[in-house]
Amino acid sequence: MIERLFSRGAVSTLESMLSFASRRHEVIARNIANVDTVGYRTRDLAELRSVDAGVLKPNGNNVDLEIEMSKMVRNNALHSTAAALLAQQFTLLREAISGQLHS
Amino acid sequence: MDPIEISAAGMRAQRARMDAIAANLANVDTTSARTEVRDGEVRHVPFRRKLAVLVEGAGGLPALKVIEDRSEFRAEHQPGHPHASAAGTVLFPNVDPMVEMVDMMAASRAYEANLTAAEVAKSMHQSALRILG
Amino acid sequence: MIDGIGGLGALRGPAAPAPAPKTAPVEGERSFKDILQDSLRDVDHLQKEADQVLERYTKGEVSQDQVMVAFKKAQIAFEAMMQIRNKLVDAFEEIQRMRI
Repeated sequence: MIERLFSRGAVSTLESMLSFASRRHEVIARNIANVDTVGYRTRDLAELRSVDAGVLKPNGNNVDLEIEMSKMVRNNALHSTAAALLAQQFTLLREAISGQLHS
Repeated sequence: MDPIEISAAGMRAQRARMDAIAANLANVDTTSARTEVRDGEVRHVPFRRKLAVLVEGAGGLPALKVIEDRSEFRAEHQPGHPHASAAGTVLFPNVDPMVEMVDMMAASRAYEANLTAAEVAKSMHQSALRILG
Repeated sequence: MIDGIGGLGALRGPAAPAPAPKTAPVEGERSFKDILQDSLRDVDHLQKEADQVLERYTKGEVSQDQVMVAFKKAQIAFEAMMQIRNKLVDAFEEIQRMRI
């Protein structure tokens, strides 16, 4: 019964967004760390089904630093938005439960 | 894996690469890194350029491999040079300062990118802490 | 006891004199006891889940935000359960006062 408070609507969606953003940052960090690794190809999350489009350097590496940096910035914004909204949703739930406003 | 660890590995690899490049630059004029005896003559062997190659290591993290650049030493005819051979030939290191500078800039840029990624990861951790309220 | 007074609506306090409490729950109605027990189960489940997520985090299997979310949910569930318990006690005391 109480668990249903968390399964409907915003909380569940925001949790998914948060998880997505965390997982994507790990992949992007890995791409950046391997920007000069011989033979390394850019990776992204499976669910994005992105096409590998980077220019291939002579050492077999196709990581584009500019693209990875901009992906990282956008992804960070998604993460902080989801975190802030989730924190707010939890505050609203607590206020509804206690019948009082929390600062 | 915590993304901060990934970025830290990237920074370490680029730092080691920069160290190798710095060593190349420092030794651009080292005409005698060691000596050897050949055909009954003492020869001066110049500094040989080191190549820092990044390969995929454990856990999908970059690992540094330092190999020697086997390209030819530059030979000049300078009979008065302290390290000249009996024939008056001096061998110079196979280091091109321009190439090293370009490499150094690339390594530095990659290092900064990893540093930024580590900072973003840290900010994500702090952002998540706010969920606890 | 308090069985059979009615669903969550009764948590806000009886609007009219409550009927004499039945000793067995009527089919289709949920007793306060049921509601409290459900919430205790949920709290226990969420706290156990938070512990598991924490352990998985130390092994590097889940991200830090999942740990934050799991613990926050456990906290909110606990608060909800305490509210239910408090309302239950309030309602019980109200009924006791009516009997005098």
